[in-house]
Amino acid sequence: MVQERQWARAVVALLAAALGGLFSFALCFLVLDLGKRLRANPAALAASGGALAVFATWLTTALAGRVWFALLPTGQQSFLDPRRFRLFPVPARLISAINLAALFLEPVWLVFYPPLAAVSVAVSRMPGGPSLWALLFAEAMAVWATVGVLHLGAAIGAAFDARPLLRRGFMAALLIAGFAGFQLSAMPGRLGLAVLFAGHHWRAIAWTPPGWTALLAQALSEGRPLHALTPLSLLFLLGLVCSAAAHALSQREAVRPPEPMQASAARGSGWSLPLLPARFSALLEKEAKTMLRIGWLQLVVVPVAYLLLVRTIAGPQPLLIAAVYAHLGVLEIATNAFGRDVGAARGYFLWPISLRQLLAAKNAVAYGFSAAIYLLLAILAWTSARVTFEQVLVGLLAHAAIFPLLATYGNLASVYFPMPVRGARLRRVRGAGPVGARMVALLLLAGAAWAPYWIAQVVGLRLFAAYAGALIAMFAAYLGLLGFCAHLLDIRREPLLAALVKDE
Amino acid sequence: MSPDLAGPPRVPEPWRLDGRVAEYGDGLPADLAIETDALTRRFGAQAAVDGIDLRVPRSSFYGFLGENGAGKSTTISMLTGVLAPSSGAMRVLGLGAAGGAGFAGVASRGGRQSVASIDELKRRIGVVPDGLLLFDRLTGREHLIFVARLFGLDRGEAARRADELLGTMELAQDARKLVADYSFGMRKKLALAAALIHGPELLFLDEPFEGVDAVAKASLTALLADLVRRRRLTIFLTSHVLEVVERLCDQVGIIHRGRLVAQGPIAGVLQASGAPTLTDAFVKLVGEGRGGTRTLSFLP
Repeated sequence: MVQERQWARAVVALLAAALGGLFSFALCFLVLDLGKRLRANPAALAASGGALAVFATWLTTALAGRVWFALLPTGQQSFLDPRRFRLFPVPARLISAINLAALFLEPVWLVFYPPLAAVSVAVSRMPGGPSLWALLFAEAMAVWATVGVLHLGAAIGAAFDARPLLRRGFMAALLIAGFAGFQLSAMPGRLGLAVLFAGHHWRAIAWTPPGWTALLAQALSEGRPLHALTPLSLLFLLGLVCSAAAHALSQREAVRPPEPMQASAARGSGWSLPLLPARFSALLEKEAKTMLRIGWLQLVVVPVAYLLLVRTIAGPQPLLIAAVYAHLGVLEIATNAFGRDVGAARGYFLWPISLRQLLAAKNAVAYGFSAAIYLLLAILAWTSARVTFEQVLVGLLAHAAIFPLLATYGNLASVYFPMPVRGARLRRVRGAGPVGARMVALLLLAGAAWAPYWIAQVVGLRLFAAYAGALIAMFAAYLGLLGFCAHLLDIRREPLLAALVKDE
Repeated sequence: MSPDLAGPPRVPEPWRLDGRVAEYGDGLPADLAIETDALTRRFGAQAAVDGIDLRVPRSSFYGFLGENGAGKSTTISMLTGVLAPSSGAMRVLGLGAAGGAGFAGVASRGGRQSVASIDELKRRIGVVPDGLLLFDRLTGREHLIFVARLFGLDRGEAARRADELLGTMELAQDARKLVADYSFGMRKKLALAAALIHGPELLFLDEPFEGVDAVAKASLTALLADLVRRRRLTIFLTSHVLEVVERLCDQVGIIHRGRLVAQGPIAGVLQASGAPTLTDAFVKLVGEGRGGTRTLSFLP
């Protein structure tokens, strides 16, 4: 059984690596192509603010993407938790240094390094662009600064774990910022992120880290080392100060007891949902409360990034992207259904409950959160007058139609690749199997979302009918496969429980 | 030992069963809560539990003892239906299971075990396993109500029992705290409350008092002993604190490297092993010459 599991992990890990590589090289191709087009059109290049502004824009987009990836797993943690080493004579600075070094080597960077190199190549070929080696050196310094920011972010994330009230406040602020950001960037006539770097804004940008990186590349390229010294020092200091702050914060947190969180309902006796069996209501309540108390960050951050996507990928049915994107928000929940139950998952086999009902409740909660995200995106898109009512409706149907696929796939992934999540933190994942499983899920979702669209185009069917048909078929298949998943859960209970109690 | 149950201990000669188990007692009690026959669980080539024959009388406080890794938790996992035995048979509260399948789809006395009777078993037992069964992101009260509702109690009754148990376990002040914020001892008490909330007939407790303060431990043991004395509950307890076992239990079973090496009333085990205390008897039976004074070369 162990060998079978390792074999499956290896296959999924290979698939994940292939998908990551494809994504990375697609970005490279996009960057090089855009660079070629700008090189051939000096007017467009000038409108974008010149080679340096383009460099700052692309670099910032890539590094913002890297930071966003760090936010995706709820409560990003350090490689080594300083609290675990308090009793041992290990220098605290050494642990912080190892944590910082580990951030450079995270696998997600492997996706970002090739596009960053492509940015340097593309910009170096533009008129007025700095030399390639100067751009690469400047990018290396930007990566250093970003890693410092990520280190600080991880320390803040850990501090939030111990302060539930602060975390809630931060999440609310993030939600408001995300909403405002979407509204501003989605307004007609805006150019999105690029507008910040163009023309007359350049003077202000020169005072920011992207500006420092561009100025560093320019000064090095022009052979003015003294001019390069200031931006170089600033970028180095930014990384250093952030990392030092992360060290100080983690040391302070290591000795601080966590604040207990009080739930608001003092005297309630549990949810009673109409038309649903009492046990199912209880399971829904437990799942929903657990998700709300753990998974906030993820649920809120996802819509924010959708703005960037919707700016670049419009198409005839933009809300199909929203449908897939909403499911992306609950991907971790759906594909790791037992991760948050850890040792308590044993109860599912000790208590008189139906495993089918259990999986259905977990799926229903994931769908509820995903639907909330989709509706938020649809409202935002609707208010910015970018979509029609029919597009919203087709998106809603697509959202419902592809969820059974995610639910079924998620149930299988949850049974085969359970990962313990302790507190608000996902323990380190040993092996790429679980991550690969999620990337495969992404591919499946994307395929399932657009398949009815293309079928409708080919057959001449109304989009409505195509997605409604898909919904009926997928839902019927889901009901049939739910029993199979429950059976699988039952027969694989031993490896599942063993995996959940491991401190990976 | 509860005087209501067995009266004054009689100590017959030890006798052997299949050349494996030494039992000290006056024959097997007719009414057994747990009965196993050559129960075995293998993990690959290693036998974690190797052909044990447990006899746990109803309404008894049974101490199941063994070193770390002796097979105690594996045995509990099999008896509660989480782990399927590799071979052998078992009967818990009259419901049977045979090797290879556990309680799910097993040959019972009258034929194939139905799903309904597996559910019936689950309804009649309570478990506090080593890892506890607590959902960190629920409050203590929410957790108890959730578990009670899974056992089919209506919302009102679930809430009433939860409040009563929180009071008994001295957790009422912390009822609104998330379980994640509970101390180790508080978690143990909450797990015990959750195992009791549906009124089980048989309670499996794996190290239940570890980390619980002395005052709470005294009141909880008194509560459990009273339930056993009133023949309301059978308790199957594992603990490394043998003084507690000696004080609470009327029956013990000792497992060593997966094999049951002794079983019966405590007084019988003590007399047959010639040891004054249960700790001495335990060391004698499983210590294999270990347990003496040791020194460290670097700490002269």
